[in-house]
Amino acid sequence: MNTHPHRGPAPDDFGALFRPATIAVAGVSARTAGQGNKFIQRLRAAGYRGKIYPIHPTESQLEGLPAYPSLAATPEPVDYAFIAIPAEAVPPLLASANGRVRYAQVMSSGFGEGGRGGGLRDALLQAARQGGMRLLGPNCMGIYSPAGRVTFTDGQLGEAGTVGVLSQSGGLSIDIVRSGEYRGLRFSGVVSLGNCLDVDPGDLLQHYLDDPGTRVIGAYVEEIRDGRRFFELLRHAQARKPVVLLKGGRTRQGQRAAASHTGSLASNDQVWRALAAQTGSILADTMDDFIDALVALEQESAHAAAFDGRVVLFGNGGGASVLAADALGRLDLDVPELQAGTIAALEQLGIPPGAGIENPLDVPANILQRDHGALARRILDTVVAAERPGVVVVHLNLPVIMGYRQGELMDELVRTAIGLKADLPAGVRLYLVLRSTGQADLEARRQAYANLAMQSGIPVFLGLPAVARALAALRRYSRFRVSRAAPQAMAGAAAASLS
Amino acid sequence: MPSSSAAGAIIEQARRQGGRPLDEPTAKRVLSLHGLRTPRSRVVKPGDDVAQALGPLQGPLALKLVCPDVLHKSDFGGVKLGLRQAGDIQAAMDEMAARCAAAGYRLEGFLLEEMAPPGHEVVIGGFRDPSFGQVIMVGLGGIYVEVLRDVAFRICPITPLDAREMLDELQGVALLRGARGGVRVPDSVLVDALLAVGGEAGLLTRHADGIAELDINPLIVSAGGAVAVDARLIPCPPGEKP
Repeated sequence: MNTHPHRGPAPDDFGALFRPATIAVAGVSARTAGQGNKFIQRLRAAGYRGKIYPIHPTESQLEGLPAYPSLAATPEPVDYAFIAIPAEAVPPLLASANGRVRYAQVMSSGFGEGGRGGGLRDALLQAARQGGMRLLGPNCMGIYSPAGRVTFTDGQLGEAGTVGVLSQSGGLSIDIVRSGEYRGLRFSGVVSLGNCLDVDPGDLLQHYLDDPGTRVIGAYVEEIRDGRRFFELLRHAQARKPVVLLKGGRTRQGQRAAASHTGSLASNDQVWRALAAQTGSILADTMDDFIDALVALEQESAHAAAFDGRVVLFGNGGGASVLAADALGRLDLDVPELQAGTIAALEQLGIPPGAGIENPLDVPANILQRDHGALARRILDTVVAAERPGVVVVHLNLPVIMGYRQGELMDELVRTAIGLKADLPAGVRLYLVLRSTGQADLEARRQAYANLAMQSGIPVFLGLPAVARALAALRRYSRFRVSRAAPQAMAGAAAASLS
Repeated sequence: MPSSSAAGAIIEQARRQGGRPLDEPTAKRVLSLHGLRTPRSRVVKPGDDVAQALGPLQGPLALKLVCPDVLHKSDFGGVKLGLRQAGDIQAAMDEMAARCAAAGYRLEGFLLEEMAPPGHEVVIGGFRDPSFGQVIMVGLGGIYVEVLRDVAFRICPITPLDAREMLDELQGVALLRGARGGVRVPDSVLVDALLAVGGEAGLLTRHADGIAELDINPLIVSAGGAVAVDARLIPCPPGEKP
């Protein structure tokens, strides 16, 4: 059995793809707004600082730039070629690159999707080899790289960060960028892989695992031809970076001819769950869970201490607190009773009647507002110091809290959370849940508060069930790392968490 | 001693001869070459002297039909348990032979084997996934696997920790660990069996390109160890490359 994770020669350095110094664009029109025109406009809007070479058989000037008749005719070699021309024209274009293009991304479709164009597919692969490049796609959106100022989205480019994503769906890769950034994720890259004729999920996975600028990895996958390599890479990595997988088509019945009992019990879902269990990867069921897990895990590889599953819940809303504790309990997380010493310390704080001195800590808004949020901070400090939970979840219900002093109380509580975050002891994580009920004015306020908190490095969630699922992902990840840690490393981690 | 290369030769030969499922004695030989215990047994051909074939076998014995045309032996009446006397065995063989003849099936012979000591019925299986390669499965036998689908899968090769976690994943694992006053089986018994099938040097891992599907059903496990009582091994079609 092949246990070597690399295929072929040395792994590619994808640096040129994520930070291209030169970009060629085929599919730019002098008259209409083609995909190539749009791409160039996006590059300019994103502040791309490298050279752009439009490629066109006849035009000499496009989008205000000198155009060149072929990929071999550009003034400098091309790091990244964006190709959006009719399918049958793509192979000859690539074949003539003469080794001067490192990555070609083919946006065009018509290369065998839906059972049509299989002949062109073979010609495309052949042309990419002849031209001497790596091929991305076909049928893909390409690269989103804030650091390289290259994007497939309209609107403002996000900040560069440490989340690396690969996706076998172009549409979902846009969703991932947009909803991820809305939730505070900052990307080292998002790559839409399309039909994966050449560059495949394993190639990008290996890049992100090796890339020091990536701390957490997300992947939307449908079909992986070389699943073995994908598995070996993950297994070899031992979850040193969290990996969150969203797998499409898991419920699809396999076409496996089952002559055995085992074969009849096997399904695609079973195999992916096996992969997750063996590699410590997180298998998400929905796009929301995928984003939530990335939000929860973004900073985890920097955490020395494992999450032991103990959660302190703090917020307003008695029923909501009870339901949150249930949601956590169902997912194998612990909302432990406070120790006697902790309760005694809380009793010294002069908390008025109406607030529960137990976990979950249910503190109504009229008590939260004492001393402009300072009482809330004292309660949290006391509990954190005495209990040292792996996670503190602070949940705030906006429709209620916004009714106090024209929203000033909400400002104070978000500041309290930010202050707490700055002073947390090592090994205690803070997650903020901003609950609301959908009204537009509240949504706008919620997003403003979320942005404030996210800028301070606090993961923010929009509901308690969501944070429960994300913490379950964190727990699985942490448990895997502890179970696979070498004995001496475990002893070291235990010593670190005691100090 | 386990001998992976001998097992490989058997599987390759079956592939060259058309990739038909191995017969039960051959499948068990492959298992035993990978260190799994199988019952002491004799193959008896029609017309052989039963009393002589019994030799050192200790009763009670199981008699099983060996016939390439029968997919499910017990449904066909091709399994008879608890036999001790040569006369009873001969009578059971005659009856099975008659049933085969009536159905127009090819009778290759009979497998006469010692019955496993009492224990829990477990299933260990495997199959070759087109993308990931060999995958191993474990489940508790009988209704647990057939009705409740209480099974756990892993991609090969598995580590001892993977094997233990497979057991932890089974809803019915408490039964193996002695719940309700049943036989308590140390985890190590099943971990060893799982590694023999799907570990680094296991059957599925070593012959990853040769085995399409595998059922060890049942594997009888007790404190004394694991015994593969029935086995089905389907080679990959001849010439097929992974």
